[in-house]
Amino acid sequence: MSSIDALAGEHPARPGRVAFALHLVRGNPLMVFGLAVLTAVVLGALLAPWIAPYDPTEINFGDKLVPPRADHLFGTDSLGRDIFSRVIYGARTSLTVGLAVVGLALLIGIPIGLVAGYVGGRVDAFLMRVTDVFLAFPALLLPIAITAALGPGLMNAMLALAISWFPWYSRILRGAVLQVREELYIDAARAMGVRHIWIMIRHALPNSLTPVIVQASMDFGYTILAAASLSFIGIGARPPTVEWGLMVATSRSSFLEFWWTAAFPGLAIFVTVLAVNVLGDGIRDILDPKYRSRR
Amino acid sequence: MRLASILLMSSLAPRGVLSGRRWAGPVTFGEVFAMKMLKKLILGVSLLCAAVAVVAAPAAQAKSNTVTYAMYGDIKEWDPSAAFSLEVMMLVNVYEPLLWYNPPGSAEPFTPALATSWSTSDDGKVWTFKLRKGVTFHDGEPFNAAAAKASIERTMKMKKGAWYIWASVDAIEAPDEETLVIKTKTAQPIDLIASSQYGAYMVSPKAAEKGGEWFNQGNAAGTGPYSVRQWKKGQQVVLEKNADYWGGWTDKNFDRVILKVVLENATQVQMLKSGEADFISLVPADSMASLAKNEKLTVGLIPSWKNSQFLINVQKAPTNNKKFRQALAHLWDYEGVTKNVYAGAAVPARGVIPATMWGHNSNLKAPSFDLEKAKQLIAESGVKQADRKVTMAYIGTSEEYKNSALLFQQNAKKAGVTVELLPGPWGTIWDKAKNLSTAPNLQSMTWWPTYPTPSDWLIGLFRTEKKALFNLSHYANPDFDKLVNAAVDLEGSDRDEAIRKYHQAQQMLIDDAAAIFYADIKVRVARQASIGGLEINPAYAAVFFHRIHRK
Amino acid sequence: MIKYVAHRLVMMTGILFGVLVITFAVSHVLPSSPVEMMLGAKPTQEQIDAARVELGLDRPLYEQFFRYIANAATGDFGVSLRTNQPVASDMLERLGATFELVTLGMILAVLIGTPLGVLSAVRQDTAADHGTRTIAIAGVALPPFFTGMLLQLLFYGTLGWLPLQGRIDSEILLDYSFETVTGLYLIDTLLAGQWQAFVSALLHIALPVLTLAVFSLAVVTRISRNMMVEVLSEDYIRTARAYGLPRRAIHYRYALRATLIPLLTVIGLTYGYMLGSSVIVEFVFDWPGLGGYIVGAIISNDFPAVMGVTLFFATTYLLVNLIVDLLYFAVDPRLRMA
Repeated sequence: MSSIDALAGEHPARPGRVAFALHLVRGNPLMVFGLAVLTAVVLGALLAPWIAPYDPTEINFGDKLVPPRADHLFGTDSLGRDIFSRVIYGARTSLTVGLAVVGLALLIGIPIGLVAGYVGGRVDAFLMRVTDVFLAFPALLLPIAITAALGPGLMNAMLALAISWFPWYSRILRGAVLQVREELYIDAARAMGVRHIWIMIRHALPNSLTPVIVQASMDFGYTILAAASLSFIGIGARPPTVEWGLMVATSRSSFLEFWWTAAFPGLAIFVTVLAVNVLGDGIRDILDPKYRSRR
Repeated sequence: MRLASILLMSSLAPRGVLSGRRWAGPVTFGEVFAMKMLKKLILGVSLLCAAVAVVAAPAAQAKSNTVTYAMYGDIKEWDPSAAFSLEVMMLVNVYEPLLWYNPPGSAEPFTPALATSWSTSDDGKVWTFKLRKGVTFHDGEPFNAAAAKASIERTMKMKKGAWYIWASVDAIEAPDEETLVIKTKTAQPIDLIASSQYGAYMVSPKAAEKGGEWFNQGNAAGTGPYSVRQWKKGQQVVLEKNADYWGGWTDKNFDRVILKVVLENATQVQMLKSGEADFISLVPADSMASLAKNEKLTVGLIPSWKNSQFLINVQKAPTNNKKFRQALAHLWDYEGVTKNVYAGAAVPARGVIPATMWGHNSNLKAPSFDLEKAKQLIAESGVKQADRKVTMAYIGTSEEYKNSALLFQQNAKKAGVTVELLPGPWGTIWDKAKNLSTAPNLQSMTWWPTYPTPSDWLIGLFRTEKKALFNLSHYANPDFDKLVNAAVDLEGSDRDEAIRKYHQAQQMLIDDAAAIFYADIKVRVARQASIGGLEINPAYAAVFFHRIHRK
Repeated sequence: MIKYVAHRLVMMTGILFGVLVITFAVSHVLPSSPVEMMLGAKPTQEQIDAARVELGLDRPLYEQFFRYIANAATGDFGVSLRTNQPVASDMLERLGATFELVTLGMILAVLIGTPLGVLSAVRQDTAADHGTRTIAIAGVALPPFFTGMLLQLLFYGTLGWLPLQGRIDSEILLDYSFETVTGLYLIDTLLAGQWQAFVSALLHIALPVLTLAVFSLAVVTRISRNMMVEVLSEDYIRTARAYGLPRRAIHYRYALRATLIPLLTVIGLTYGYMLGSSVIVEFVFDWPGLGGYIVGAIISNDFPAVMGVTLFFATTYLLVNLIVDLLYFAVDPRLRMA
């Protein structure tokens, strides 16, 4: 597969990562867009109490189902809550969910992948069969089943998503560790009598983490989407938590008449996930040129 | 292995991998291939669209003699002796009991169905029914006293659904073809029981022999005006005219009834607007206004015997404190909930018996929404600031519960009480509420009587239970039990005295703050304005399709 | 070949056992008692106790597990607490609807997605490529439930062209009767020669299929672009071109065969995503298939149904991938040596 590199001659020589990154960002208007949107979403989430004109959970029957207008930019829902404020606060939930799920999945997946790749043999075979089992469920099905069992709630939904997500990281890391394992410096460490656990953590892990990080950055968006889907079918976030998927679900019974109740939270999901995906794609290009030519 | 790596990599692709490889050679073959496929596809799709458009035009159908009702769930239990839920919509049209209960305010309390006349002994323990002659079941079996006796005994023996309405029956006799005698252990209102919307239907003895499994394949054999023609699980139940119906047929009657399963209320509303459905079962509060504006539709609120309350757990801290419980009852915005959350489809309750049921007393002293009073009661209660936290469980799919709970949460916060919301499916929250260690402080409950008696609420929800079943307040008050037991025995002989005792019992519950009694439910209904002859009867959560017609 | 198939089958059986363990574990840590759900409104304590025995909930856990495995092996998933019907028969009834939806969705996604991906790969860094990539990225960012609702708003609410929900018109289902042969209405209606019913079924399936396809289109486009890029760089293609073989020969003799393989993979992989998102799509459109069934089951805590469908979906997914692998094996001779 090295033919690719030979063909890459048309590209300008790579003058180093940072410059290459800048080059890629500049040459990629999509990425500029993604970065801008995500920054806005993160700022919105952080500064929500100062930006949001209303308390997102404050019920006000006097202003029920108001269409978008000056004092309610995105209108209000059936309890008279300001949708603009709710969309802003919802960013907090979605970003937290994305971070927590990916983080938790990494936390479970990394040790398993590390041990499987480094130890190899039967341990590897066993651990990989375990991940096979988790991967045998079509997307979303396992989280749905687990959440159904644990009981509805955002916490349980996040846990369920992480449980069904970690095998991806285990596998990617294992693949990377398998290669790193054969490197000279690992052999050297082993020869010097360094304990395996140290070799794994100090040497094998840092040198094989990049593809995992790259994948994680790209999964962030999908996680947000999956969590919103769980909320939508009623097993994710519960009121009074402000969550976009739940907002769409709640307005499902009235969106044909009151379109704004579903449109804005739905668009919020779309735009955020889009930005995150675009960015994830870009990050992969920048971070890991090695990734592209390895397969 | 290459295959594995491709599979793995491409499995990742959906979640973000776009190949970064660049290859900018002068290739055209793929392009050509792609273009060809696209062209063919576009051609194919346009051809298909054209074909559909041509054929779809005449597909508009006439539906003169069909009536369509949108149900929010499928039939779960087809056996009339065991059914206890949405099935009532099918039951009242396919089966018949001995008597129908008339809507409150009618001249006569009952309409004869399969019984033509009835009488009771002086002690109220022996009931004699004269049965209708010449009636046959859908499967051709004759209806007679033996069949009636077998039907009731089957229900009693199966111990499913609403069988317990017959619990006091001692013996059933069929002295001749047209006479049925029911003997009870204590005086019982058998006329009311025989008109129950569940557990009182007459079923063909031949069908009964085939057992529950036969029924649950979508079979039925009653005497009613309609028989079951088709059951597409999860999609629809179709009832077809029973030409031999003893009540006879006119040209106006509907020949066919489609009970369509439509889970989502928004969808139901749309189907009503488009004329696809004549009736819908779920009318969202927020849609009432726009439906009312539509000239082709009729919307309305009809009183029911359903009411809703949040039961307060009297044994679990901090709601084991009576003053604290009373404070909670003052934190409930009764008007706000009925006016806004229920959008007028409810009135604030006064006591546990709804205003539409006998035994109700509108002069009971009930708490009102009063923040100051609540704060004062909380202070008096002695519950420490840190302990002013309550949990509140409700059925998560109910918008009304959810929004009421959110409003309560907001108001309670103003009085320094933290409310944690615990929505869930009924099975789960009920199971938790039964066990004191897992029970919430507040538990949603909507109750309705199996047959029209106030005791259904007072006994079902509040009489002491060794092992909690529906007494989810875990209320145990010997004085209350004594009062209610005495009243039940008086129902047959001295109804006025029974009512007096029921009034006392209700006030006792309010004073003890065993629940937040907040809403007598009205049912939001919406239908095509062209439907005529509809009569509202809180005794049956159903439409009698044989009695209505299209104007 | 036989050895390979046998190996794959053994592996799959192992994985299936693992799947069973997971579904059992998941269904038996359910916090709620299924009995309460099963009995519905106002049962007596007696009924509750009887039902517990009936469901075998009074037995020790290991016994329940073996029973669960044995039953599942014979296709018995218990009785649904919500519909009161055997889960297996409920599933059988709804299988066709889901299969029809997912398959049609996939065909649509593959028919549009593959050429788009190929185009994008061939014309890298052109406007066409950027456009396609944007569509692809946007497609996966659209939540399927939101797409579905938007389509409903447009095609039903505003335009009034297509029905809102369901699989076929009620009256048509009744009056233009057709036998259930395949369980796929589009095929059954044609077999029975019921043109009206076919049209009704087609109009009903349009929006759900479109929703499903939008999400998967992005997936298909991405994968086929990646794979095409790889195919293009293969030595034999470049060699063929270097030898100056006529374009047509390259197109039809080599390229078509080369794209066949990626196409297979795409189908296998997309199937999993389709099955997953079909749950959401069926829920939005009241589609009477397995996805809607499982959502209803979750909402009412009907665990035999949840586990039955989960197990079924997992098995299907595994099988599809097995078939894809075998086909792959048959198509690509190089793999036989690996």
